Amino acid sequence: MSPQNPAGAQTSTSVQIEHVTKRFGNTTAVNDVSLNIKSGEFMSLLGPSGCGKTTLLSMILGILDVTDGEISFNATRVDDIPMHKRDVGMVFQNYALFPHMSIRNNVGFGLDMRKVPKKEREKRVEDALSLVQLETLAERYPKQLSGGQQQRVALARALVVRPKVLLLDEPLSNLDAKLRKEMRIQLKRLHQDLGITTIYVTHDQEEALSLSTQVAVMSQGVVQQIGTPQEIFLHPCNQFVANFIGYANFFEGRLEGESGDNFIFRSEDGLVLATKKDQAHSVGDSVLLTIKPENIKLVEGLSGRNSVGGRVVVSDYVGNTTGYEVLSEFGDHLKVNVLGFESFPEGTELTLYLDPAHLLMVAKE
Amino acid sequence: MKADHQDTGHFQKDTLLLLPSLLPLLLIFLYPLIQGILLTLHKNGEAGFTFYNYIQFFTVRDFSNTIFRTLVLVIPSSILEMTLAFAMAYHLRKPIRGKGLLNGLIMFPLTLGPLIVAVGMIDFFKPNGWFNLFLMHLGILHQPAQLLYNFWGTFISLTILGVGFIFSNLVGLMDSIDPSFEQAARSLGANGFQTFIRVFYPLIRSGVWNIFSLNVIMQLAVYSSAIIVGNPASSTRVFSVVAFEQAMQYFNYNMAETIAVIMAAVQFICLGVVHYIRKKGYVGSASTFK
Repeated sequence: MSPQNPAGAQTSTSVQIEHVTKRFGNTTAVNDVSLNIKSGEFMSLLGPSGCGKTTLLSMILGILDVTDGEISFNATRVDDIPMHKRDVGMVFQNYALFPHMSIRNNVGFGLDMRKVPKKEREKRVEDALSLVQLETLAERYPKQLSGGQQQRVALARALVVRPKVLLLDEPLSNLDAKLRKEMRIQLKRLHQDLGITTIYVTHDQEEALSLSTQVAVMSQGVVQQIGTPQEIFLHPCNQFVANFIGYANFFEGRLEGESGDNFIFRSEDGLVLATKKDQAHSVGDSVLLTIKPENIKLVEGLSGRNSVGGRVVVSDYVGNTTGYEVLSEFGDHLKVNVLGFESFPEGTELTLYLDPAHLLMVAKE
Repeated sequence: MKADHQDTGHFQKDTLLLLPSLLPLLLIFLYPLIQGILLTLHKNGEAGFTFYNYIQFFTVRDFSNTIFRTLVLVIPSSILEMTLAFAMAYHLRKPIRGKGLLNGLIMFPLTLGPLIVAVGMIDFFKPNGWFNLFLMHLGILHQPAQLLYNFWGTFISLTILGVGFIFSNLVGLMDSIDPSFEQAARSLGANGFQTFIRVFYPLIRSGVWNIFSLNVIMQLAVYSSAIIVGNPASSTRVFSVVAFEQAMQYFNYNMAETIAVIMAAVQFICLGVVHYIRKKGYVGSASTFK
């Protein structure tokens, strides 16, 4: 992508979401959400379907009214301003390109609404199309473009009006895996070049972690955790966040002692594990211990502490990794990912090693 | 290439599956149609081909006037029906209380048919009917309005039925528009009117003209309301009235068929004009292309 900023997007808008609630009848879709998105930040709203992330985005855009709370841009309240006056660029999940207009007219639509002089309109449309490398397709119609090209047109159309804030509603979800990865990199570059405040809705944790400067993980209309991708990934605050970003193995139990730098944990099933000490817990606490599938190692023969015997129940080869579901001697179904392909057919008896450094204590959901 | 030839040129066995539905169509529509057209080329009770009936139609004012009378009745009423139905369907897209009931009420006359609507109108619009009594009670009218047994009687009847027909079609058409188009337009700075003119209407324009042409074609064959609440001797002496008269009173099936063929020709011309206008704008899907 071009390093200059031909779309001329505004770069100095912060977004304040204060105690925002949205109710539909008796259902609360967004419950008392507060977010402070700094100017130029790339904030992802990450969560499963129905968690309220798109509802929150719709309120920022103005499709939906807030039931309670306030939304402000640069400390100026906007939730009472009609949608067409908010100056927000939006890329819809289905791109919503106008099928009866050429790509040039799609991109120029927002400028027409702002009564931008013809010459300037043409220049800005050209710049926006070259920003997304589609200048040669300006006379085509949306149905003549591929999914990836349509996504870029939608982006150009949103950026050409120099919005205060750019909103993206799962814009990559309709693309195939390879194109999704390419477009992710293009989006990241574009954000770095333009520095526009961006709010990105996704259910894909990899997308959120890769693109964002801040991630807000949502569940049931509530923000569960806000932090940098690293904070979210390495220190999920509760079972939901941990589970959502890939911690698939959970053990419920108590910290029954300590040994050097480790606590000694005993699960309800009798599994004893050593886990690294932290400030938040002490001996006697009931805790939830978790570990990612890729942090469990398969070893041969029983070795000492943090080793568990088990039997392969399911093996799932997916190219770079192979996933196994292992029934442990304590009755837990553990998920294990190993790099490449190791042939452990179903029924194979093996030993799992759960490294204390990778075991994490999280709050129960 | 070979496959292409097979697809386009060669007879395929599964085409025979069309026969059960094609056969009745051929028997009850195509054969009578050809027979009817042939009848128009004979003078009543005489052998030999002649254009006598067509010459008669265009030279005798009582016949030729039916074209004008039918169009003057049907085109304005269709425009009014489209305007009313469009406004209502557009408004009722929003989730409002009682939407289902309102939809049902607007479409209800369709279930009654023109005969019952016309009879109901007689009760409603007669000099001492609810309509006149109500307006006279309010002081808006000083004497009963004459809305029956004239042009307006048929016009109102057509409008009641046409609004229901157009509305029922428009509801489906408007529902097929992805709301994200309008949201995208609004997010790009378009107000409600601009969104309607630049995005919403162009997307349904082709469908709207289709519905309009269907309604015009249907109403060009107006009969029962022209007889019951119109003035079939003069202002509502439309194609069907004259054709029926020729067939059932004068037993001149040749002339009746001629009038029917000319009515069909007028319907085709109307269809052609509407199709031409329709093709001038965007014709295509109103969905997103993801």
